[in-house]
Amino acid sequence: MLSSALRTYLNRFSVAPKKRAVIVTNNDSAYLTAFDLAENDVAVTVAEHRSTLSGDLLARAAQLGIAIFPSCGIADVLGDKQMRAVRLSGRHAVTIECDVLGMSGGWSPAVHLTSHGGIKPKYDEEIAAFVPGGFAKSHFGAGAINGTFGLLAAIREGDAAARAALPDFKNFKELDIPAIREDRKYSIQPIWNAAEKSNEKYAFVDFQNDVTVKDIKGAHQEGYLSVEHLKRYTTLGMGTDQGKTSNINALAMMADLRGLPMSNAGTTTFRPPYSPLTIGAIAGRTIASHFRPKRLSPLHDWQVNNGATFIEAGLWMRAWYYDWAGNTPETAYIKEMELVRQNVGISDVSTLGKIDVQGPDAAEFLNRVYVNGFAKLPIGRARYGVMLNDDGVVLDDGTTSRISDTQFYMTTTTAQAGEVMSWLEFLLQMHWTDLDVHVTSLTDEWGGMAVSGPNARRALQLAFPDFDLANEALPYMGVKDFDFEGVSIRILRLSFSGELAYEVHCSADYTIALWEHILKAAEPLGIKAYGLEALASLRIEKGHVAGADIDHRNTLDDLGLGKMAGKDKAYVGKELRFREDCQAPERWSLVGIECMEEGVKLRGGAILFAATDEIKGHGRGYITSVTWSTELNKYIALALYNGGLKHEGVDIICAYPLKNENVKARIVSPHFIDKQGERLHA
Amino acid sequence: MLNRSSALVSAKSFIGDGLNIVEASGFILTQYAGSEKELKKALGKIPSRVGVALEHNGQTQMRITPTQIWLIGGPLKTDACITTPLPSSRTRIALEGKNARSVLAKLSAIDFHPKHFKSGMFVQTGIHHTPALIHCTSENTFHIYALRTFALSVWEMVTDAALEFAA
Repeated sequence: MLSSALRTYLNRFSVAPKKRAVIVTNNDSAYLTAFDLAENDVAVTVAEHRSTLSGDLLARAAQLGIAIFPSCGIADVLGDKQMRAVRLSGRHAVTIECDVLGMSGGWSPAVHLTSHGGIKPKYDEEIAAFVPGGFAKSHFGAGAINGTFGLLAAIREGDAAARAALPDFKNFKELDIPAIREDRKYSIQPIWNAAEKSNEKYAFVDFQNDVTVKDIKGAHQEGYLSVEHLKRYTTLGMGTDQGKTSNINALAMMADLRGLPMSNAGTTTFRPPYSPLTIGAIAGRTIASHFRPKRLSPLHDWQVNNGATFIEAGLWMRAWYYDWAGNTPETAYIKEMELVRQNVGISDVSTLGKIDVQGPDAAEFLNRVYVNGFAKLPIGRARYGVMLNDDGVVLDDGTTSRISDTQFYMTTTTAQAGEVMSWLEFLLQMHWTDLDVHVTSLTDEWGGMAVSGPNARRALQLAFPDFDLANEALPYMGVKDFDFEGVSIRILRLSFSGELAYEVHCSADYTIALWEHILKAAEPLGIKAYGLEALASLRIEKGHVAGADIDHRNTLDDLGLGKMAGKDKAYVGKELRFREDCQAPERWSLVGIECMEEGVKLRGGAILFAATDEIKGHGRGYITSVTWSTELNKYIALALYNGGLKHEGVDIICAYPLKNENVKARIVSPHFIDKQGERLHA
Repeated sequence: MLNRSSALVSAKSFIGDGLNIVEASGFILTQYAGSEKELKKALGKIPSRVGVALEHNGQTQMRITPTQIWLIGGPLKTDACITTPLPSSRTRIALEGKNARSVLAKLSAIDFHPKHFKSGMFVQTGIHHTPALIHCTSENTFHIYALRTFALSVWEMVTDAALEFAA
């Protein structure tokens, strides 16, 4: 260990190494350790690289019974689980039994701050170390940073630096230096490589990253001559000490190998922090509940007060299920699904991304963004759209409604809201600067609720008796705005659940009031709230893909949506969508899965194998979403499977190795219910 | 009439030593977007640059990008540029008192020294990893416009930073 560390253990923590210590040194400072150890009954031997020593050190060492071997280093350290002895190199090649070896190779000033500021360190031969090459304007240094290691000299430099820093301050008093011993001159003889040639493989230079003398020679042989390359090739100086104990030796070795003086060897750019920091100091107050922000729906307070259990979805806290339906998610979501399939439920969809797209070129813009056509979308109509990245991979889906000739209301998935907004901004600012379009996020401005189920129309008619909700007035994918009790309401006849359904959107500040109004008005029908688990399960039955299925590796065709893309129009990602690999027949594509066994469940993430396959490896696909189907009375799932629906009707195995489960299942259409869409259009 | 609900309904005002933190509700925010010419036509006098608010006819205009201006106050009906009402999208948190700048300094990597962040100036920055606009309305009074959905988290972060000034 470092000689100075031995001294710190002894004086600060009263810890001494058993009874015998060897100190190897090339400078005077190690004798402070040697003397302190000897004064505490530790037998000390010094292996001194230098051939001569000052008289005062020799006299004090003799007084304390310290044996000094001049012109010596350490050839080898002996011992297995603990140190047993060292073998000296040099003039006295003897073996000395000991419990610890303290090393002292001299001191290097902390040049990190000046180096970080762009001032290259310079090499000082006298102290065999790098010192700051200067100071930035209005910066001053004194003491060890300048390589001035004596206390008296440091005090004097500090006084001079203060006077230089405050040239206009006239009231400096004469320096009153306390009575302390005169500095002894710092004496050092650099020994950069103390290893014997036969031991270079085990001669560590960087003790933190295990960089050896052999590694440095290897870097030189491979042509990594500059210090920056040496660092990166060997990881020298990248440990937690940031090279404080190793850099200078390694730089000197490389300079020697290159035949350069140290002053020309160069250094890497040292940077703060110089002293170790705790993670807590970096984290500051952003811990516990402040670790990351929580995003709350405008309906959050109502949900808290009305029996919702929450689940984190990204940063969002979402109502998972409600206590009217049960106390566990496994049972509650099924009751909530039944409510929607048989009657009517209301669910919070405020987390959906919402974007205002306005401008004379808004229709053209959307027509380019989505794979399907939006240029001729009539006012008052919504359309499902899918957008691709420019690499032809699906980015997101959602519905966009035309509010006027020049205004559209886009919804995105919850997870991709931010990314889609950035993408639209990017396209407008970088690619299509000719389009006169402005986009604004409305995710925080608008709250939303889905009213779903065969009685959805009746429920809303009770809530808004003056608003015509008849099929003719508001058909499937119709959109209308109206004012209700002073608040602008937007009703979109959309369905995520596969049932007759509407989304009701309004300004976020009024979402709770509107929600409560609908609940109260439709109470005679038995309307209740349903949560995220049911919301996400209903859509699986319908075969709607969502975030779990769209994993940023799928193409349109993988998701069974290829036919909706416009053939005669341009859209982002069109060209690369038709890459050979994107059209390969064996791609993992969307399928439905039906469980063929009773008393077992399918699990999300299960690996899919053909019935005759050995259950091993990555399989032929995996389950992306799974639910109990209240309509089919069995577990069903959406999955990505090699070759997709080419295998419809084929029996497979859903393997879940974590639970050692292999469940028999069958590949089916991903549309489990209402394939004709009769409920949607009811 | 439907009742309005605040995102900070569960938050209690912070009354401390040289520092009060309250929700400053009751504002109407509308965004106007367009070219310089369109914005001038719609709003008349407009701020010349991002970062300095313009008080005009009892309303505050803040140019948040070269092509977008926030108007705090009664909205103007205009067809001259694109109008997007955003009254619910932001929750406004007011900090007032001699210690307000010290609290802000803990929340954002912006120089809030009065020499640099003067009355009438605003910055668009981040608080607790969320976007926030901070407007200096007078020497020691500041409005934070936080996204409504993150408002409670931002409020908790702001009042936590203010604890050293708790009464």
